[in-house]
Amino acid sequence: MITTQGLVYVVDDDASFRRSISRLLSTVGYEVAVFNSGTAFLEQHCGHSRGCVLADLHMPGCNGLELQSRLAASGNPLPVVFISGNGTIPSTVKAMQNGAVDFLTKCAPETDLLAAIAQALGLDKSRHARRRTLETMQALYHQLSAREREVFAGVIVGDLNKQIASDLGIALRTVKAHRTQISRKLGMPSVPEWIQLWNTIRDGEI
Amino acid sequence: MLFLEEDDAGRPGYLAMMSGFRQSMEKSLPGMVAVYSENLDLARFSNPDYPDQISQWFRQKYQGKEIDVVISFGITSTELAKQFREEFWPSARILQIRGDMQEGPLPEAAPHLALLEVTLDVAGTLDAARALMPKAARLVVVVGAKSAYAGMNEFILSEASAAAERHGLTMETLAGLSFDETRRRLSLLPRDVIVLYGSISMDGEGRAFIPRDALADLSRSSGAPIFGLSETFMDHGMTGGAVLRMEELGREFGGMTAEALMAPDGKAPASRQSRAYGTMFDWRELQRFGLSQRMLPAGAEIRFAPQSIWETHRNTVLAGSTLLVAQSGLIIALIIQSRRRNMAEQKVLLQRDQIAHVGRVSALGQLAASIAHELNQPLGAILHNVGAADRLLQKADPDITELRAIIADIRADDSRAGTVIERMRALLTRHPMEFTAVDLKELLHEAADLLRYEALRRSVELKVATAPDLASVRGDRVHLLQMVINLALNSIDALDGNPDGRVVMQAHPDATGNRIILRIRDNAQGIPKTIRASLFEPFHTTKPAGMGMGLAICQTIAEAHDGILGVESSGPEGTCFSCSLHPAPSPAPA
Repeated sequence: MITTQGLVYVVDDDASFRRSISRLLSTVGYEVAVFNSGTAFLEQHCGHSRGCVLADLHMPGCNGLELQSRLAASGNPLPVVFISGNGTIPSTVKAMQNGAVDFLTKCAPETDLLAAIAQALGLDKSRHARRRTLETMQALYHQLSAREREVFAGVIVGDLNKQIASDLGIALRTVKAHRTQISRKLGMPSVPEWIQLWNTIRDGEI
Repeated sequence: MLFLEEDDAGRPGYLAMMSGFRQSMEKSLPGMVAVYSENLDLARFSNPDYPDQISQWFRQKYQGKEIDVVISFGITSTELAKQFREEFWPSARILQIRGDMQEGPLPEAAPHLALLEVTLDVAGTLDAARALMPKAARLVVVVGAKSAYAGMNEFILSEASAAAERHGLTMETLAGLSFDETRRRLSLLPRDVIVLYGSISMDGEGRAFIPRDALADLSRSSGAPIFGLSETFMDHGMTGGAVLRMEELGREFGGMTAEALMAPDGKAPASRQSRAYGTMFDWRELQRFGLSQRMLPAGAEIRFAPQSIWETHRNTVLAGSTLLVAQSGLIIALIIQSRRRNMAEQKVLLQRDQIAHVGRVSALGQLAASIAHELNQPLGAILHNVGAADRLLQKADPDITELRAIIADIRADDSRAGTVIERMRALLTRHPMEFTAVDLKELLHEAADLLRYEALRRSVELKVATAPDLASVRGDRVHLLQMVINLALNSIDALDGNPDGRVVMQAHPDATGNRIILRIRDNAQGIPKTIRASLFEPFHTTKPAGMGMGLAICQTIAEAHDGILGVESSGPEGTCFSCSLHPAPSPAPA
């Protein structure tokens, strides 16, 4: 599907700058999509979008920071590299606090720009991978029955089988049978693997 | 008292003499003397019976009249006077004005008779003429056919002859010719001939003349200067001479008459010689014949010289000069004052320009980020285009079309950056007000460009709205731009934190169409009432980093454009500043 090194969404109200940056990124080997406003970009953005956003901080209508926050709320927060004619300290700080990959001026050296793009796309890639893992873990977990999840919860906090049986009011042998069933469903024979799965799901949901 | 005179009463000499006489009488015996005057006019009435007839007529006329003093001129009149005295006025005294040119013996001395001896200074006149004209060789003497006073012509001729001999001059006489002939002869004379004019009362053809007027006529055509013997000839073409001054003569015998009238014993006063002579010349005639006044005898009077204004109108000149000096002083004072004021005005203008300049620098300081932004846009675009081009060229088969497009973009961005710098330079340069036709629409867009980033940064919407086909205004572009930027920056500041902040820069003709109104409108909270009064005062600021000059400068700029910077409205719905401007004069049709 993605045959290039990655997709870069260029969002800038300055036509000439848009043209120049997309030329540069194309020659480097990136796929480029250009938008003249944050609103235009957000309209086509969806949960499956991949790549990174190179956005001007200051644009009429929806400005860079607004774009960033709306993107974050979209469920598919693509990494953002801000680029500005002249950034002020407060806006820079805010952009970085909100998770911007980098903040560059429009005259920043090409190497800095390309490094930031590479970093952003790398971030997207790792996020995507993490999301894939999380989805796998969630799918595995969701195979468990309600009773199995109760047993699972007891095991990962380190409770003994006898204690779990007592807490749930079931027989010890039944607890053991659930554990075997859980191991088979998850494909995870060891308890440390269970703990890792749980942590992944929990972090992904937070 | 009675005058008996032998000539024409209208003669100027006579009139002058009478005037002197009356002056003298009026001075010594004011209002007490009755004067009778008889002019026999013997030159023109030469019938042999005439004296007898006149005598008869006088007898009848003066019978019963008391006469105390009889003044007689000449022989005939003296004879008459004697007769009448014997017949009617035994106590009358006789004053005889006796010229020594007159023939006849001196009258016998008698207690009732006094003589005032008068002469014609022919010798003195010719001496003076000779002095003036040392090179002259000829003397021409002009006399009439007959004189009123017996012997006068002869006297003149003999005196002249003697003088001619003394000075080595050949003398010619023009006597008894017709007036026209006399004039013709004189007109043929070369310049270096001395002409002596005795008197013409009647010419050889029997035409009577007033001697003075005859002289004036002769002089006009004469080739040589004419000298004469009587003061009355002055100003009538006489060059000059040692002349008899008739008015003075009148005063002399006036004095004698007074003496006679006041003498208690009825005796006549002592006889005496007249001293009524003077040497005088007419400057104009001297000039006419090229005669140098330096050659004149000492004591000679020069008349009719073009007097200096000082001599003629001393008082007027003094008053005028004083006035002129005072006026000049006033003018100088006014000029100095005006210059001072001018300098002060210049200084004020200079200060205004300087302050406005400081204001622009300050505004640009606020716009530094905006300007950097505006510059970085094209510079960044150029940089990345160059990077792209570089990479394209590394390929085996570079896309030439794309490279061309890149170069075109670089060129356009370079020009864009140049424009930003040029605008900045214009704003940073100090410059005096210069009025030209300013396109307000274009100006507002430039202001919007400069303010764009500032507005974006502060999330303020900035708009330009102008009437279609808006006429240019007359103004100084940089200063107007500064005013707009200042006002818009104020609005942007006022909108800080307002999520829906909006600034509109407008230009529309007013209702009359005679003016164009520039408006900067915002939707901020409005200006607090407490600071409204001091809004335009310098150094009044509500901003932590503000200089407080912004609005004061804007007002100055508005005033320099014959407009008033006003707050049209200010309230919760926003504030609108406005300034009316004159349309630029339409360019003269080519």
